[in-house]
Amino acid sequence: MKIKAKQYAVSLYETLDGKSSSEVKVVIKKFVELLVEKNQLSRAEKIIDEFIKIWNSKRGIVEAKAISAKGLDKETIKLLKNYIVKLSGAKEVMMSQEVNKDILGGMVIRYGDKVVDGSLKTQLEDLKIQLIK
Amino acid sequence: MENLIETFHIDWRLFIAQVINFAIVFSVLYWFAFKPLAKVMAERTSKIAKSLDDAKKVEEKLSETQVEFNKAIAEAKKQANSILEKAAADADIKKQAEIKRAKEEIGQIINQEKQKMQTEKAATLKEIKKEVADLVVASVEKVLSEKMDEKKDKEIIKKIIK
Repeated sequence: MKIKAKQYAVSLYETLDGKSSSEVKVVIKKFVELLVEKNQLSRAEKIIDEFIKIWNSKRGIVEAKAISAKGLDKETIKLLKNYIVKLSGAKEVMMSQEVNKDILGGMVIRYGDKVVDGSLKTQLEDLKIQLIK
Repeated sequence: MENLIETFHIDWRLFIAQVINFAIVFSVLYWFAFKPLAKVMAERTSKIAKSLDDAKKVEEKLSETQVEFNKAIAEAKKQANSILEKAAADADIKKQAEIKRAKEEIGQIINQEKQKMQTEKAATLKEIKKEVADLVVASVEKVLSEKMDEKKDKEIIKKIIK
């Protein structure tokens, strides 16, 4: 039976949980050797993605991406992190940034499978729909 | 009597002979002329009477026929009138039905045209609204792209997450 990437990730997480950094290195090395042995190294990227999801989930970490038209300063990023903490109930938010002038202003935040769209572009689209109705 | 015989010079023998002669002639005439003639006359009389009777019967029959004919004509006229009246009534009903159908068709056509006009009007209105909306949005986008700076953008974000 073929083992799923998520099952590898769960096994890896359970093995690593509570280990010291030196032990972690050994476990990871052995895990990579296992993947080579099972000829599953090509699935490493998928397994890592699953592992990160499990890791973040267990530790209450949320990965978020903020898209803005002009870029965000530290203060704004901090405000956005707090905002996502409030929305998701996470303990920690790992925020990444992207600049996209097409959104004109405001921001779009993606975290988990959710999207908070506060862009001026979307507001204008809504306005357009209202005007056409 | 003797005077009479003497006056008229009656000869008894001759007279008797004449009587016999007369009787013979009478008998001959009676048997060969009067009787057949009487028979013929009687037959003719009977025929004439029968003819008259027949004529009367014919006349009566003719009269009856005339009455029946008149009755038949009257009945035929009545039936013809009845048929004409029924035909007229049927024609009127048909006419009314045709008028009703025509009115309904006209009504349907009017409704369809109204619907079509309303649809076209709505489509035109929607097109105009879309044009206006496109113009408004394009103008606002242009203004925003020109006037938007980091400070304003930050204020907008703060308002959104409040």
